[in-house]
Amino acid sequence: MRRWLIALLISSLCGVGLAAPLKHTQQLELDGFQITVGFTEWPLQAERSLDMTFNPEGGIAGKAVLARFVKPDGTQWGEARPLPRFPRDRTMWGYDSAALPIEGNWRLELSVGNQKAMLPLTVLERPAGPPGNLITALAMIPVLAVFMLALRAWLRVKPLRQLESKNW
Amino acid sequence: MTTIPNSRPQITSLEWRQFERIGAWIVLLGVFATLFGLSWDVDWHSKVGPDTFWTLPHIFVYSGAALTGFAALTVVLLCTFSPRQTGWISILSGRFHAPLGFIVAGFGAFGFLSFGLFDQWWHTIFGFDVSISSPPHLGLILSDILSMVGCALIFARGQRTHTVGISVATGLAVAFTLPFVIAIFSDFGFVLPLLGLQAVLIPLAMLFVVSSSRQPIAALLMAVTLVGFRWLAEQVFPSMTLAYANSLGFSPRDGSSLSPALPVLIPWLSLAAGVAVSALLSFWKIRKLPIIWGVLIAGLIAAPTLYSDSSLIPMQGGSVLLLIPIAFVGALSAWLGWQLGVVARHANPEPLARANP
Repeated sequence: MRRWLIALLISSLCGVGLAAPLKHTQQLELDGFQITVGFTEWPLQAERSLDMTFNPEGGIAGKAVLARFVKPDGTQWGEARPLPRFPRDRTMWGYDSAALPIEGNWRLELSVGNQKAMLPLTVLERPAGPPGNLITALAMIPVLAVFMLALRAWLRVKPLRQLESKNW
Repeated sequence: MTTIPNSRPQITSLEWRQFERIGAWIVLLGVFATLFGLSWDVDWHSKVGPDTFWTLPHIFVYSGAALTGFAALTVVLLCTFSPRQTGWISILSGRFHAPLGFIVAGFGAFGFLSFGLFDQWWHTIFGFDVSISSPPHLGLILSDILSMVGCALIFARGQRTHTVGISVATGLAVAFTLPFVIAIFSDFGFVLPLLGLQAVLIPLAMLFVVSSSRQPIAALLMAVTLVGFRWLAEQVFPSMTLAYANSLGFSPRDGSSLSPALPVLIPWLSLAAGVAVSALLSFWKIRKLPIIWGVLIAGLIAAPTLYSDSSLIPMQGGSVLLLIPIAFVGALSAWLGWQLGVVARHANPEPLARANP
């Protein structure tokens, strides 16, 4: 518990400009050039967001790479799209604040024309963290409060409601 | 409270003590700041992204909630230590008493700030935001709706109501509830329940404000507030997001849209619906026609107008037939809004000592 509180305090005090450092990099070769793929979290965990950067040798100028994520069951996740520039450093490509939703063996396929490269991504189980179901149940309290308030009031003012709802 | 008055109810302007008046407007200001901050925060996340507790949108969000909570708590304490009046509600075994609206708004703000802590905890484990529908976000959003309901109730007290206050407060509540509920349901993949949400919620809110104030113009005031928020968001969010990102050395993501992520779900045609409902009910009031028919016809007109503006379901060939059930649902919503307006005033009665000044 103390660990969570300290983490909470630190995360609260961190400035927004603090970019996370890379914890892991991998090399890929595609269409004759090397791409350094960086991860700000490693190993990957389901639902845990991270930044992924793609830094091709010679820079991104004049290059376009199509990316598609494939889920553990072999189906595609989202649309196949060109790699966007990384918002925090536009000299490379990348995704910021991205999370893979389920654990298992994912793969990221990059392609330029007919040339393809594949990056296997092992996603571990979701981090043990705040009790989602309990928080969701607590979150329902305000809605129930509104409904209970309206229902109770509705029943209590029935005689007036019948009179006033018919007149200005 | 259950005594039926002999004469037709006379709705007059609200008389507050000084601290209630100041408290009411501060609660409204706090609610607006939170709405503005949350809508901008979603825009920031969808275009730029990085998040900690101390982003500028969060400053709006949490200072707004703190303002709401502080103002509501102050009024509750001042009421508790004042000579007790009959219209006030007791809570916590009678230890505190105050007008219902301040109590509800205060609990909403307390819930909001509490879920803010859960949200921080969540982000330490799962990283920056990737989903609007995380459990702490649900708590934040639903608590804020509670604050907004409380804020609207502050302006309706028995036979007295503040027409501008309740119309603006309700307009802000819809400007928050409609886009955020749509966003959450979309995140869960429930597209079907969204089909008629604007055609249900907006007529309900319009008739709620007319019923509680007995002023047909209240529907138009509510609509102007609602559409005004979308206009404001479209004017300021893109440049604010860009300027804030530049000041931090970030750039918007490639391909991100210029229009504000959530306020664009507010239909422009709310304004046309507001004009139609206000005009119709003014005519009804002047001619002293049976009010319930006026309410139902207002819903029948407003709902298809609002649905036609849907940015979710573009009107295509054949779907015009859908307007028929939508119109009936709108009539039902309008009726419910009208009844809730009466309920809101009488569940939240004015002090008897001030009933006949």
